[in-house]
Amino acid sequence: MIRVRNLVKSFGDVRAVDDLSFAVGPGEIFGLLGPNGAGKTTTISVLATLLPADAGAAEVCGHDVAADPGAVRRRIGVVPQELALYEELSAEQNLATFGRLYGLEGARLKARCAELLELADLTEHARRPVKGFSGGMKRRLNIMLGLVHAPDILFLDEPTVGIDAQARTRILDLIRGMNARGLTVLYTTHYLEEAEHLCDRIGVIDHGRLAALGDKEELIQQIGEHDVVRVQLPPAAVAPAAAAAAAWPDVSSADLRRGKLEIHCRDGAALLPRLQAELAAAGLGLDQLEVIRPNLESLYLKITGRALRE
Amino acid sequence: MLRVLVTKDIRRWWSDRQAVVVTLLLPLMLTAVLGISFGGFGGGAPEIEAIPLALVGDPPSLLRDPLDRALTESGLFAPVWCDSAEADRLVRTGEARAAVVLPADLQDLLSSERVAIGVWKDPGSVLQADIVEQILRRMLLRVQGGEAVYLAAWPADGFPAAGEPDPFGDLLEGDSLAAIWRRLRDRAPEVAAARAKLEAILDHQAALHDAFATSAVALTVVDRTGQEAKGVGPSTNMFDYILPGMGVFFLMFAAAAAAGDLHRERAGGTLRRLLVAPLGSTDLLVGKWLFAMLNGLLQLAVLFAAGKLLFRMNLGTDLLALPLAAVATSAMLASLFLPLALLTANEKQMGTISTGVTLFMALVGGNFINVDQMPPVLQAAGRFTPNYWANRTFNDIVVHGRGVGEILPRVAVLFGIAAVLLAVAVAIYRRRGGKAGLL
Repeated sequence: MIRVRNLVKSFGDVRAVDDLSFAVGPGEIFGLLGPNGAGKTTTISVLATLLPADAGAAEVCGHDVAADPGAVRRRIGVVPQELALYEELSAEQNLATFGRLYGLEGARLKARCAELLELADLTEHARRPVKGFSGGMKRRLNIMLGLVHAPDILFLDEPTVGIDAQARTRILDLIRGMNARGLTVLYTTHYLEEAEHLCDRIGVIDHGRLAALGDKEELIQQIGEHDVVRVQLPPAAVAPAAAAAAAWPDVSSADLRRGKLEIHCRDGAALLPRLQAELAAAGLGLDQLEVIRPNLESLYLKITGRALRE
Repeated sequence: MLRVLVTKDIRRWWSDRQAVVVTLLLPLMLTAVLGISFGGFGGGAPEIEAIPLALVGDPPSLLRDPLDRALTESGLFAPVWCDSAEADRLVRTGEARAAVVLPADLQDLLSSERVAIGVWKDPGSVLQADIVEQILRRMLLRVQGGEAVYLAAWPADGFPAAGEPDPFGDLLEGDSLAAIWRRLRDRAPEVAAARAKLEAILDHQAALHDAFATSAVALTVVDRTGQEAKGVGPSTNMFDYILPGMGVFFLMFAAAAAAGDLHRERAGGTLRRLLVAPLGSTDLLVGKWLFAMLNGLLQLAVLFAAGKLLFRMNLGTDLLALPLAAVATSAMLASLFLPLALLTANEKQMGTISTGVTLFMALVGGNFINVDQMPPVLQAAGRFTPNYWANRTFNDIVVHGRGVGEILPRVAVLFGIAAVLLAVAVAIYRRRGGKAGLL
């Protein structure tokens, strides 16, 4: 559905998108994960025909975004990061306005508006001016406006910024529901947990470049990061235990960190029986133990050398 | 598409009822205050500077110099002596508000013959020309009064001075008119002399009455564009002079706000959404222009309707003239600020610049001072402001009662300005990368 090849877009001396390539298949939720200023919005703007690329190529639904922008626009829906709503108008009027711009009229338009209002749980508020809506209601309507003409692909540019956890969950459920009906989604975010739980595949983007690409497991494998087994021991036993563990096979390192023994290994679960046996043989009790799997945060830290910021 | 865009903007505008009321009422309120302050219905106009006045004639310097000095020192007039052809040109071009044509021989004023003074008025500057006419009429009344006083005071009535013998003796004694009449019919020589004296007194009284009744100096007033022939005189209702200017002034603010809505839509994110929709390349700009034009048209319609009902405004004699001028003006003003909206970075910048531009143009283009009353220099400069042409056109219709045929050239100028400014906006839009430039 989306094919991006060696895309480049600069603003003056700043290269916002730098040789970016990826592809999104039909029915997929593809996440572009990166911090603010990574080039996510610029990428969506190029794909949505709003900005011309300086180099490279992009196709959406088989149409080249530069050569046939009209055809692209009819197939896509865009949900901007900001609440792009006419606050003076009602929810229904907002939907009807954008529906008409895409050629919907009469009964078809009315039915579509009703369907989307229902989907967003806004039917009771259909005729109220949007300025009186809560943040969550506005966010849901903001998404519905991108769907009014039943696009094949929806570009969602950080649609959950600035809302509470409950509203965020509701929006993510909404997106999953639409995806279940066959909608392809390109989703940008700087929230790791959103990308992790919502997206089928994730492209990690930083400084306009794609740093990693794949599903969650693939990404973790790509970075070769280890499990961490963290053990709480009596203080006197920690140092000898660390020295002993460092010699075990499949253990890359074992050290003392904040009073706990931390063992870095390929498979933390496989290490546990031996660890328990060794500790029992040494007459040591096990106060506390946890196995930490590598996640996208550690992946992101490894790739970019910095934490994702709000 | 344009219909959808315009409908959307109208709905947004209409949803803020307070703003709608203020937009429509403010021009009316200001017009009412100004109109009443400056004379109200049928009142005169305040004078702001010396009225350019052409004087035709060649009087001896004995008369010419004091007259010239008196006119100049009054502060009311800036007299220019010239021949009749030049005076005609000055009045027709508006460089002189009126011309006063003195008799060929000004000495005739002092003779007993009736003489004529001509006044040529510039109908485009009716208030100032009226002032000239009224002052002349007052002057002539004074001449007339002076003549009467002279006749009354001249000792030709035969009444005896103090200490002189009474020429009538007891001829007029008694209360009975019949007895007096019988004595007057007496043919005795001494009675005949007294009777002749009495007849001379009666003739003198009749001349005195004539002097009050008829003027020795006639004033001929000529409108140089021949409006008198059509029977349509310039308006004397002060609101006719003020309301169109105020309407155009507030419309400029409304047009700036409509164009500035591009910035509001950009800041709110809706512009981005609109740009993704399958619109034509210039639909957004034309949509904003159309909304501003319809909005302006509505404001002018409400303003003139209220002006008619509240202030008894003259809406002209040609039913089509005012609607045509309103459409042309709205189209022109809708285009006026689109280029600025595309060149400015944000709404604040746009608001600051457009307010400055509006106030300057209103000052120079005749929104605060009626174009008729503007000094020639300002009138010349005003021609370079778009609003001047709107003010002129409304003035032609409302103040001078001109019809479609006469206002067509100015309407064409208004449509021309609208087309040029819209083309400039489209050119800027394309030069800045079309949709990408709006983001």
